[in-house]
Amino acid sequence: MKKQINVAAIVDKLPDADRPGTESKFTGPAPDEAKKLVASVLSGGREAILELAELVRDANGKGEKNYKPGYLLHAIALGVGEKGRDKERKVFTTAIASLLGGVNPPPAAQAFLLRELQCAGGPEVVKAIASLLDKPGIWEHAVSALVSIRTGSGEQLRNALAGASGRRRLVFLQALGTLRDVGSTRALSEATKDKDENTRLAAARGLARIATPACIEPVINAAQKAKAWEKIQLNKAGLLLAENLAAAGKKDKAREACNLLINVNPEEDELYIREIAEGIIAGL
Amino acid sequence: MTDQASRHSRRRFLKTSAATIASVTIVKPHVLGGPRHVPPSETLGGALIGVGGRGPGTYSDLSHKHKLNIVKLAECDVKWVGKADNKTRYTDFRRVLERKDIDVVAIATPPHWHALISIAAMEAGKDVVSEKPMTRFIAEGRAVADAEKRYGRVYQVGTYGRFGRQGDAGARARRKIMKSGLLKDCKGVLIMHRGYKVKQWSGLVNTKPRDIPDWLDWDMYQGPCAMKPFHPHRFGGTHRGYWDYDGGGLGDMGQHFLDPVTWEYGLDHTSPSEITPYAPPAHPEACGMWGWVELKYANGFTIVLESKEWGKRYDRKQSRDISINDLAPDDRAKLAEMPDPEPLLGFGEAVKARKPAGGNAEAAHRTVTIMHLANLAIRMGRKINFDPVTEQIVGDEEANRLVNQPMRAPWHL
Repeated sequence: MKKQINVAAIVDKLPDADRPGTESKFTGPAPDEAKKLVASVLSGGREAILELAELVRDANGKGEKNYKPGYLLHAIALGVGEKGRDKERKVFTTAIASLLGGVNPPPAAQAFLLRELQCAGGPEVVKAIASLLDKPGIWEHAVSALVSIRTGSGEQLRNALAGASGRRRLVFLQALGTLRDVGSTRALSEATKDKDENTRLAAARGLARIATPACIEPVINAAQKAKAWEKIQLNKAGLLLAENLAAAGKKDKAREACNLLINVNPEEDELYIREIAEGIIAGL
Repeated sequence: MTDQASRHSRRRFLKTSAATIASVTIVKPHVLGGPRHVPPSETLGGALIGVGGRGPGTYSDLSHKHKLNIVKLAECDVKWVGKADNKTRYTDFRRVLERKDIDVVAIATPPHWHALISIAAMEAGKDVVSEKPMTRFIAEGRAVADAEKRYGRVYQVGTYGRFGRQGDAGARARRKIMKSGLLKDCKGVLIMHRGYKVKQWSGLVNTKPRDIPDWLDWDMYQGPCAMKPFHPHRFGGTHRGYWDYDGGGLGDMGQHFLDPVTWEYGLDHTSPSEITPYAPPAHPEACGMWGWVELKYANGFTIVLESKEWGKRYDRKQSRDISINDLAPDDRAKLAEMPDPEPLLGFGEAVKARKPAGGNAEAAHRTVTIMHLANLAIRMGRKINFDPVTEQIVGDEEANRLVNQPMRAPWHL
C-alpha cells in the first residue's frame, strides 16, 4: 500500500529560483537532496505522480510562476529511466499519459508532459500518445515522443497518415522516414509526387533510409524533375539510398541507383554528384 | 598537468598561416576533385549566414585569417523579415545555398542551425567555416563528418586553439606519444577549470511568453527544435542558456578549450567511454549549474571539466601529465624513429589544396562530442558509458535519446 504524502510540501523543499516571482535563473539542489525528493514522490505511487503533474499548469504557456513542479517531474522522469527501474518508469509514464487529451491540463502543460514522455516513455504509452496526433497545439510534440520511443510507433503514425493533410502529412511522413518504416514505402513513394516541396523531400529522405529496391524509382524520378534546393536535396537522397543499398549487400541495386543518378545530373556544375556516384560504384 | 589551452596566440597562428600560404591559384571548390574540371578562377564567391554577434568576424576571417580572395555575394539572417531583397540579403539560407556563384559559406547562426546548414552547404558543393560549437547533439556531428567525406568539401570549425598548440614542442611530443600506440596504460589526467561561464549562460526557468517581433522569422529561428513560445532570452546571445539551441557555458566555451587538447593528446578519432558528472538535476529547458564532469577514455586518459561555480570541488584524481618516461626504454627508441606530427592546414590552405583543414569535421566532431557527453551526463544526472565506435550510449535508452534528437519538420539530418 502506497504512503499518503503531501506532494505540495515536497515541491516546496526545492530551493527557490534566484529571484523568486520574477523571470529568473536557478541553482538547483544537491544531487543527494534531489534524489530524496524524487524518492518521496515515487513512494506515493501513481496518485502522487498525478498530483505533481497537475501542479504543472502553465509551463511554457502563460508563464510559470513556480518552476518547481515541472523541475521535480523532470527529475523523476530521469530517475526512473535508470537501469533496473522499469517498473517505476511504467508507473510514471502511464500516469502522465492518463492526463493527456482532455481540456485540462492546458495545451502548453500537455506539451510539457509529452516532452517528459519523449524522455522516459516506452511502448506502454505509444497508443495513448498516438491518440493525440490530431490534437491542436500538442500533436507535433506527440510525434517527437513517438519518434523517440520508436517501438510500436510506426504503425500508429501510418494509421494517422491516412487521414492527414498539409503540415500533419509532412510531419508524419518525415517521422515514418526517420523510423525507417518499411510499411510506409508505398505512401512515401506516392508522396514524392506531392504538390508540396517539403513533403516531396521528406518522402525521398525516408525512402533513402528505408533503402529497398522499390525506393530507387521514386527517388530518381523526383530528382529528374527537380531544380535548385530541391535538386540538391534529392541528389543527397539518391546518394544515401545507393550507400544504404550497398551497405545492405544489394550491390546491383546500388549500382543501378548510382547510374540513374548520374543520368539525371548531366550539367557541368553537377559533376561533383556524378563523381560521388562513380565513387560509390567503384567501391562496390 | 596544467591547463594550457592558450599558450599560443591567435597572432602567432596568423603569422604562421601567412608564411605558409604561397601564391596558389584558387580553384572553384565545387568543380574540383578530378581530372575533368573546368579551369580555375582566382576569386571565390562567399556568403555569410547569421550576421549577428560573431558573424562579421567569422566572415572577415575568410580573407584576413585564411587569406582567401573572396567576394561577399550574399548574407542571410532570420531578423530581416521585410528587409530582405533575395538578391544579396536573404532570410532563408536555402536560397543562398542554391546559388551556383557561391563557393564558401561562413556560418554564424546560433548552434542549433550549425550542423544543418553546414551539411546543406557541402551538399550544394560549398566549403564551410562554421562557428563553434559545431553541433547541438552527437548525431549531428557524425552527419557533418559524413557529408564532408561524401562531398569532398573542406570544413573548418571556428576555433583555432589546435593551430597554436602545434607550435609547442611539449605538445607535439605528447601527441606523438599518444598517437604512437606504444602507451598501453595511459595515466594522464587533465583537469580543466577554466572560465565556463556557467551561471552567465544559464537559462531562465519561469519565463512568460512574449509577442514575436515583426522583424523576426521565429519559425525559421526555431528551425529543427520543438516549437516554443517566443521570449527574448531565447534569442541574441542568451540563447546559450537553453538546451534547444546550445549547452550553456560548456556549449559556449567547451569547443574552444578542448580543441587544442584533442589535438595534443591524439583524440581526434575517438571519444571518452566513461563519463561521470557531479551536478544538480538538470532543468528540462534551461541549462543550469554543474560542478564537474570526469571523462575517461578507453586507454585510461582522463579529462576533468570543473566549473568552480557550484558544489564541492573535484577530488577523485590528481592531475598527471604524460611524458616520454611513461614509455619503456625500448619503446622510447621506437618513438624516436617515428615521424613528427604533420602540420595542420589552415582553412585557406585546405581550400586551395583540396585537403582536410586542421579543424576538419571529424576532428571537430570528436572535440565537441566531449562537451556533448559532459552535458549529457549532467542532464541525466548519472554516469554514462559511451561506445566511441557506434557513438551510442551503452545500456541507457533515456540517455541515447539525447544522442540523436528528433527534428521538427521539414528539418532533418
